[in-house]
Amino acid sequence: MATTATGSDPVVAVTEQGLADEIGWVERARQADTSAFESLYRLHVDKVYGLCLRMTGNVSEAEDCTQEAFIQAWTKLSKFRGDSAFSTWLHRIAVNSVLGRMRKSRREQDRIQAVTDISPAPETMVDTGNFEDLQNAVDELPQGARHVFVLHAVYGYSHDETSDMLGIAAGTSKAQLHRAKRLLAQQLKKSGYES
Amino acid sequence: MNENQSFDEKLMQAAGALETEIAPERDLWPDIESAIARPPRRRWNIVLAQAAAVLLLIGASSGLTYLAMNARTPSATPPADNTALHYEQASFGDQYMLGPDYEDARSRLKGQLDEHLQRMSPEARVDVEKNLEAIRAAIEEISRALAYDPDNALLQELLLSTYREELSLMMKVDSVANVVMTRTDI
Amino acid sequence: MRILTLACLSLIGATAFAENVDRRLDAASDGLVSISNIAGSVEVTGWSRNEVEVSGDIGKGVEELIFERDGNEIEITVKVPEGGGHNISSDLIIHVPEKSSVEIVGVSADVDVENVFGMQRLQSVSGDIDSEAHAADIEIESVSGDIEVQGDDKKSHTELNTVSGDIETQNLAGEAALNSVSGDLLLVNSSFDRVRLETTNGDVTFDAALSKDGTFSLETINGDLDIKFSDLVSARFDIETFNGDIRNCFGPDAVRTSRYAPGTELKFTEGDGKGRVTIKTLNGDLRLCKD
Repeated sequence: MATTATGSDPVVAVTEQGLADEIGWVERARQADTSAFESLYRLHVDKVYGLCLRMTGNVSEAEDCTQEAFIQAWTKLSKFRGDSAFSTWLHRIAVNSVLGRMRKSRREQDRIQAVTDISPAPETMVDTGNFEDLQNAVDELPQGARHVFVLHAVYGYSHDETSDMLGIAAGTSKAQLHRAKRLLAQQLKKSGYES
Repeated sequence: MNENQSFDEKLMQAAGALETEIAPERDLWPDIESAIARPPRRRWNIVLAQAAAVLLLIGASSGLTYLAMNARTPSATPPADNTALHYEQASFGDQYMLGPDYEDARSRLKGQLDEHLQRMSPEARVDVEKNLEAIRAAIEEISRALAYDPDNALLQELLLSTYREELSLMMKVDSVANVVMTRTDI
Repeated sequence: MRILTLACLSLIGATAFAENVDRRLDAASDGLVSISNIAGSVEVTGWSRNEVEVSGDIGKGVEELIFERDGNEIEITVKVPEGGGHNISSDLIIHVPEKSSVEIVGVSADVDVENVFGMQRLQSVSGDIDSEAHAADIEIESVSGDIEVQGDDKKSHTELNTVSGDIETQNLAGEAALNSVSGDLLLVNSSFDRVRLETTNGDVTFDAALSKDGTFSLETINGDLDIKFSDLVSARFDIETFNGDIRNCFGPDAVRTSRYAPGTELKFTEGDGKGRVTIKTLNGDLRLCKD
């Protein structure tokens, strides 16, 4: 599946045929056709799970978040008007799910312990140059900064979209991004990466 | 610093190159399927904001106790000029109220704001405008959150403080402008 | 620059060149000195004489340097042509009786006050303001200028307020109220009975002590907070944030306020609990520690 470069449309790059399929599935799913919804699930789950995992930093939370996102999408299908891409709409629901499910202290601990769980298998690892530890460093960011960094820098959403999805002001989004970059720079420089 | 800049660019590039699609370790579909096959559960209802007057109790700031003390009967009437308010109006419950004097002061200061800003240097003016914008963004953000959770005392308190901050900033512009106007030494 | 020794009280007519000035007046030992200068700098130092001395350079284009006494009050004003003042820069070096109260108004002038034991009221738009607190009330306001106050660990009442300027204080005692929209607040090496801190976007760093029944109140919308209580802190803690993180080195873990909505709180008592520490934020992250 296509990877997303920062700045380009975060929508999954589907072929025209794929897009037509998707529209058909959405229509049928709206009529409570669960197998059509399953097709939508198969098409989008990796990206939704990736988003949940990066935002929560925890495998079991990410699984819960993914499931809840699709369940909510099912109940809200009538509200999807097609004015944004289905994946964007789905991502918004996933972000809401993450925000709604956040628990602080106990989950923070789980998160730190689960860091090793989330490195993708070597065959899907993308060459990030000097920044192999970037993944880990992002997971150690404080929540607010991590959410913004994941949505904006990894998933390519603009500050307006990011702040809208997270329910924060665009200024906060920018401030959090700045903070994330500063903390990541500290973390990565500590591990010995020179610019 | 050039060093930091190229590090920054590399950081953002690397971030954009991180894998965005990660397959879950197990198939999550079966649980989803059984959840959606069930009859729909009663969900928590989101009560949307009413288009009612914004009413807040004046806090302890010395500049505003004057206004609060002069509010004879705290009233529920909407502010005189609705268009002057850039935020969504929400109802907070009746323990918080903005007296009519507060709204008067706010609209008066807002009305003169541009004129006052003209008298400041361009840099100072930009600074004030940016900060007013930041305050208004905060007001909007808190108001939106309140729409989902109207009884949230923290949000009510923060919104109140932010309105105070806005009034205080406009009063400062007012006083700086008057100083600049009346004194020939400045 | 011509050096002028003046017999009369003020310069008449706009100056063609920048002028050097050096004059004195007798003054009350604890009167009021009011100073205004648009641009340039104002440096005020308290001394043991019952005299006010003004020296320094008056900018080209200044209409008049007013230096007058009226009873217990002394006025020092750099007067410029109406509407034309912003670029005319004067640097004033002023000595005042150390028990004087001082009022300074500037626009872009930087202000520096030392060794003044009376009340201080200092205002600027973009000039930076540096002062010392000595057991008296201090009120400092600016728009974008930075504010720095050095205390002497004696109780005073300090009110500092900016729009975007940063505020830094050390060795304060007694009461302080600091407020900024987007400037950062920094308070260190101090001991407070009452402290009130408020920002919209500015960060707050606090490393100081709170007295046994002291009150500490902090509100921010988006600022990040780094709060450390030095010495024993004995208070009821009431901390609430909407979206921010709470990381505390002492006390119990923070808890969600609701299952369905954002919001985290941390409420507990430390020691006798006679003091109050109240912290409220919307998005700011909080780090709370103690010695």
